[in-house]
Amino acid sequence: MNDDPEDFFPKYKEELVKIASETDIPEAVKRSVTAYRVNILKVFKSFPDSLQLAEEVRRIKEYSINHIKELVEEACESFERNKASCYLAKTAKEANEIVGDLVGSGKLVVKAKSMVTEEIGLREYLQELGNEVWETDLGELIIQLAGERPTHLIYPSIHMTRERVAKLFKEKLGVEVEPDISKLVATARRFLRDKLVKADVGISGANAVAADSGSILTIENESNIRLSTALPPKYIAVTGVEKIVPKLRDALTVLEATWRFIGYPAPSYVNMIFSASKTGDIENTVTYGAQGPKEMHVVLVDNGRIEVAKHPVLKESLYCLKCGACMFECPIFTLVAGNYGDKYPGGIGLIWSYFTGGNKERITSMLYACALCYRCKERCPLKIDTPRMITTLRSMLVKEGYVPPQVREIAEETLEANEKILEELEKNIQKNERK
Amino acid sequence: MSQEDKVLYYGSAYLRKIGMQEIDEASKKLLNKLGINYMTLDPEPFGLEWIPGLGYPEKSLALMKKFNELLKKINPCCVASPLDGVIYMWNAGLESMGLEPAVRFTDFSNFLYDWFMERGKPEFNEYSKKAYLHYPCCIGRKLGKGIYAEKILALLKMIPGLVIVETVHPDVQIGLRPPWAWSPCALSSMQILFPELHSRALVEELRFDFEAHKPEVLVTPCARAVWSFRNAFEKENVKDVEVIHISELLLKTVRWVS
Ligand code: SF4
Repeated sequence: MNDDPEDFFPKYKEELVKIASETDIPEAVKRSVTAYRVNILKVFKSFPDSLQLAEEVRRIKEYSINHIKELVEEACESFERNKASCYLAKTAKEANEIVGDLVGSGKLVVKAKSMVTEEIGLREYLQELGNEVWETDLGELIIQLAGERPTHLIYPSIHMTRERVAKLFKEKLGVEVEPDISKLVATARRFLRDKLVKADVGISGANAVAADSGSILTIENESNIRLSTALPPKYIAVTGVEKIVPKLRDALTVLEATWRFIGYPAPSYVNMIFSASKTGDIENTVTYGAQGPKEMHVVLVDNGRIEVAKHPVLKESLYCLKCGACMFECPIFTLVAGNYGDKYPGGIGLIWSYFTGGNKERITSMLYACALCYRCKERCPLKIDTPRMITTLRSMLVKEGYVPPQVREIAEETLEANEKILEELEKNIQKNERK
Repeated sequence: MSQEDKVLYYGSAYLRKIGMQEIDEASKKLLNKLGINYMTLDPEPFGLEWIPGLGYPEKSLALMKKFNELLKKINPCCVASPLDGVIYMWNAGLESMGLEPAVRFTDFSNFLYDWFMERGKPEFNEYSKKAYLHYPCCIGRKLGKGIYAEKILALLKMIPGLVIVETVHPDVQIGLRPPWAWSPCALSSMQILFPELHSRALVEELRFDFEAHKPEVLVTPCARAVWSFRNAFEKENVKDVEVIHISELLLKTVRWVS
């Protein structure tokens, strides 16, 4: 804990106030929230069964988290059966080391967007080993160039306006481009295409993992996941163990609910990867390394997940699809984006940041920015009770001594005053009874 | 000291603490005007309902348990409060300790609605304004029940001339969820802990609804919400929407009681 616990709350509070008043983040998020409202309305109109679909996913997730250890084993067996090597990394450090060994150094690595790799700091780790690493999702590329961290689960650069992106491209890529969204997209396409074609290793996360068939499932619009996982000779999937569901059809259901609550009637692509590329075209003999990767590796990351799966309240956080829908309804997120958060953004992100080893002082401060309005729960496809987890985590941290002094004062004064009031009230009642 | 025929009006101490005594006074004047037999506590506990959520559940729930025991002795017909956090906590909070409230805790406007239904409606003066109805999250979204909201709406509909508008959230527009499920939050805890962000967040939250309806009045049954809205509107210079508590509105409009 901080040597001076009085210090941290004002510090983070000041940070949020500064962001809300001195940057264009509120304007950028405002534009995205407006767009999200239009998108989700279209989705619900076109697919009125979306809520029922989400209920089904809730059942799948409840089962999966209750059987998380068995599913890890089953998934690994299935991957090995498909000739993909499978690793279980207990910690972030272990995960980075496994991937580091697989990549080596001096390589060109292309990455698809993945929150778990942000959680463990994989890009930075691989760069330290002497690799050139590029994020291929446009939002991720933008924040990589800006040297920032993602501020939304789906739209990592949601906090940036087009004007700021144009400025960034000029500074970092040396390309003069108007703040016109389609021109900015074309610039990124030209820059990344070269990297994708030449890459030695491709890395992706997963939206779901099917234990029965050993498959990695992802959804995307940009086609960067397709290219990152299909073009380089080596493919590594890095994903959290909570993404594993029992069956392929469960995984597809999870995917469909995810894209609907992201606000897409349909994504451009759904990818399912079972193994490295192969062919049986000569003598019906299976040979790996056809047009796509020659090798496939799957790194399943625990990093606190299996432990939190045992917690009666916080385990619900593992059901999260990372659709980011809740953030568009969050009053604090609207002003400061993912700066309300630590390793992971938003209210649900605070719970994730906690069990994956985030900064406790920052998490504590952010926990008290939550107004407990319950809009996140209302929006969440799985009805994840983030406010309940937030109050649970607050009380866990109070017991550890993490509490903003202002909160402690309010709580202690109110409790003390009421103790006296209740005693006096009791006496008055007794007096009246005697009368 | 059983007071079965009396309602216990609760919330004065907290309302005074946050400077909302005008709502407290309006509520009591209204009870008098309607001839409702009520009692208050001396001294009155305050603010206990907010403390569990701050991370101190055990201590605050222990005090609520004690309060509950005292209420058993006082035995009013029910407790009515214009603080909707109280209603939430005394329903959900006690339940989490495996306890039932000794008496029924209800929202003040719901109490009035029930009263009118049982004893007859008063007559109302016309109030020709477009009012944006704010449903407190404490008795809507948080409890997940529509019953309180339905009565609030029905009560307001008794006032002639009043045009009630509600949230235009996408889920409400397509009938997926009722308006109370998506009513904006008054963010009153943010007003205490993050006052520098509170007013902007609140105005931003109301943006879509206000742009769609251009209301003249915001009406809510929660006094803490009034406190929060009034502060935010003042800071953000929102001058064209008046914030009014249901008690104040009823006190203005109730004309005759049979
Ligand atoms: S908590 Fe729910 S709404 Fe928020 S990102 Fe996770 S699944 Fe989506």
